Amino acid sequence: MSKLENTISNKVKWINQFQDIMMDINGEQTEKLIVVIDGSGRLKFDFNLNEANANLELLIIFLGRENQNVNLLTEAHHNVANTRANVLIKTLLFNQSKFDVKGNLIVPEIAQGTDTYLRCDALLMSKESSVRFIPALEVIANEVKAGHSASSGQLDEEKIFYLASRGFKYQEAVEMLIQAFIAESKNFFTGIDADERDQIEINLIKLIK
Amino acid sequence: MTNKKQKISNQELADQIDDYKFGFKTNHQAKFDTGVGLNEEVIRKISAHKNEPEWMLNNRLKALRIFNEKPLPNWGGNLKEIEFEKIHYYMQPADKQNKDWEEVPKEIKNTFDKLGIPQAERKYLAGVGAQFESEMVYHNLQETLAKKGVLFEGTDAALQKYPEFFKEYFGKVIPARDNKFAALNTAVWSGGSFIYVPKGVYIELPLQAYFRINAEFMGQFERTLIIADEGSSVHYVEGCTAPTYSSQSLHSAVVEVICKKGAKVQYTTIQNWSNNVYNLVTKRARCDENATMFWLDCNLGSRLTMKYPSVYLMGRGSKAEILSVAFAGKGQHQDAGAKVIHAAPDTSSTITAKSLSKDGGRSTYRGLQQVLPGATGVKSRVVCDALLLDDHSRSDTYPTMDVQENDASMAHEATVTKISEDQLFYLQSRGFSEAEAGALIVNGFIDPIVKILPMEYALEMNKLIEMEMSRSVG
Repeated sequence: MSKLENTISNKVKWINQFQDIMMDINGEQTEKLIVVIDGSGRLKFDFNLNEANANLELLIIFLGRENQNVNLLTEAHHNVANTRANVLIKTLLFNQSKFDVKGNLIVPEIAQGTDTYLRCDALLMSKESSVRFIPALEVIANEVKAGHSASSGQLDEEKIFYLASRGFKYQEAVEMLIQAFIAESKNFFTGIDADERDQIEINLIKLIK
Repeated sequence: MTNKKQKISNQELADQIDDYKFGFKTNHQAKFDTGVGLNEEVIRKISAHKNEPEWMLNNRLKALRIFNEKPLPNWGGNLKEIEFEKIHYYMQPADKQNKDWEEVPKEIKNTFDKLGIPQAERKYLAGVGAQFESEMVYHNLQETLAKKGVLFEGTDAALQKYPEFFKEYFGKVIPARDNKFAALNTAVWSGGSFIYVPKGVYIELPLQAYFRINAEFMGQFERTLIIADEGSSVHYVEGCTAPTYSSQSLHSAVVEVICKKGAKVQYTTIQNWSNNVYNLVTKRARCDENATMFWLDCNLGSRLTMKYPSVYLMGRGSKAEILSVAFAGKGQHQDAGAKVIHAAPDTSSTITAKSLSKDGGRSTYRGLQQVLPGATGVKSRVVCDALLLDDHSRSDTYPTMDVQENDASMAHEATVTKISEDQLFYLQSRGFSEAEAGALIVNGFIDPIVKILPMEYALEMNKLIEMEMSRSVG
């Protein structure tokens, strides 16, 4: 599989380095980020939404190919009222790779009007792979929309059978479903045009080839 | 992160509990009291007073050492204000356990009459136990069940009568070393319920117990052991209250449930301690092949509750279902949740948790879905929803999903919201007052859990919600 090439997009930034991130997001600013984790070890991503109408759309992708072991803590701090965060974590784990992630959405009393959501999805491709999610919420303000969800599973055998019955070989069917799992994230970002979505999809698929 | 409005003095706690209808005190002289504080001598006194076998005394002493070694947890609620040295760890209220309600001392009888407990038994429940301070004072069981071999005793009496069960099962699901408060309970346990349901016996009506703390600075450490043999079925209901004091009380119980092959156990708790009680409980069930465990956990009272009913699915095809409701009002912190450990293939679990926070209260969901290696074909789902009823209460959610088998199908979702303005407006436009509308919406929010409660508890819960909502409006 090849690594993602650093592409430059007008609206969506790609970060393809194994390092901590700390980012302040200020008023009327929407940060759209794709962070590709490639490596092993501990990481911390900290996002501070410091002014009203600050938005964060964060897509984190971790492809555990061999025996990568990543421990990630990601936090979104809604420090003022009327901020928005949407975090999606997608992970594909092969062989002995492991992913331990705690995602924390923090909404203090002052942060009325917050809209925040965290979702974690994992596809475990081998018996030895494992995942541990803690999608946490700490909410004091009551005029908020806050939620999280998490799922873990393997490829659906019925879907593989469906594709096989349409003439695809087993391996081809598996690759298509894996690509679909990752590439559906192209719809995650708001306010981007179709061309940009296609570009995101192309680069996400390159990630897993 | 802290919420400064949550810090509340003992006096403020006492002031706001005027509406707690179970806050009355009973003047009753204990027959036996070990005094305040905990040390080896207290343990020996308790064990000698109960005339226990030596192995149980050794168990207690070992647990005391573990309790002293372990530090307080550094997560969850604030436990630093518990004054362990001021607590009475054992107090016996009556001479002996009675089977005839008329024989129970008058003042204790009056307490439970006020709480409406014997009335329930007279009506239609299968059996009732009542615990006052450290001891069970009343147990009864319908004759038909007794003839089927069902055992429902106070734990102390059961230890004397059926030691073989205790040697085999006591402390096996929750050993003393599990956590600091399991060690404390193992050291000073007293009272609680013992239930054994023989193979194939189906108990249609719930068995019920009620726990009451009466004295100031009292600790209650009941130990409940339920063994459902193969193919059996039982529903156990417990409720608990305490009078209002400005000082603290401590309730640290341990509940062990063993569901053997094909057995079904439902365990319902309605916790309504007064707001000076620290409620720190360890509850765990072990399920063998095709067994089902159902925890229904309602936490309405206490100053701080830390309780995470758990199920260890050890046998193929076993199931766990956990329903939890937590209500955190002024000065309260409900840190509750659920844990399921899938240790065998083809096991499944569902956790539904609902919480409400108002008047600066804090509710926390803390949960675990774990799939161990070898546990193939697992399906698990968690839904937790929180309702914040004002702008200075707090809700936290800390779920953990730990998956070590790739074919496990796991899902979790959670939301935190306030009461919808649209829904309030709709109901008010139909003639409901704001308080009535709020109460209807909140009752609807917790309905999936309340509809499973025994009827009298469901009615009580609905009334409580209406009362709380009427106080929160205008």
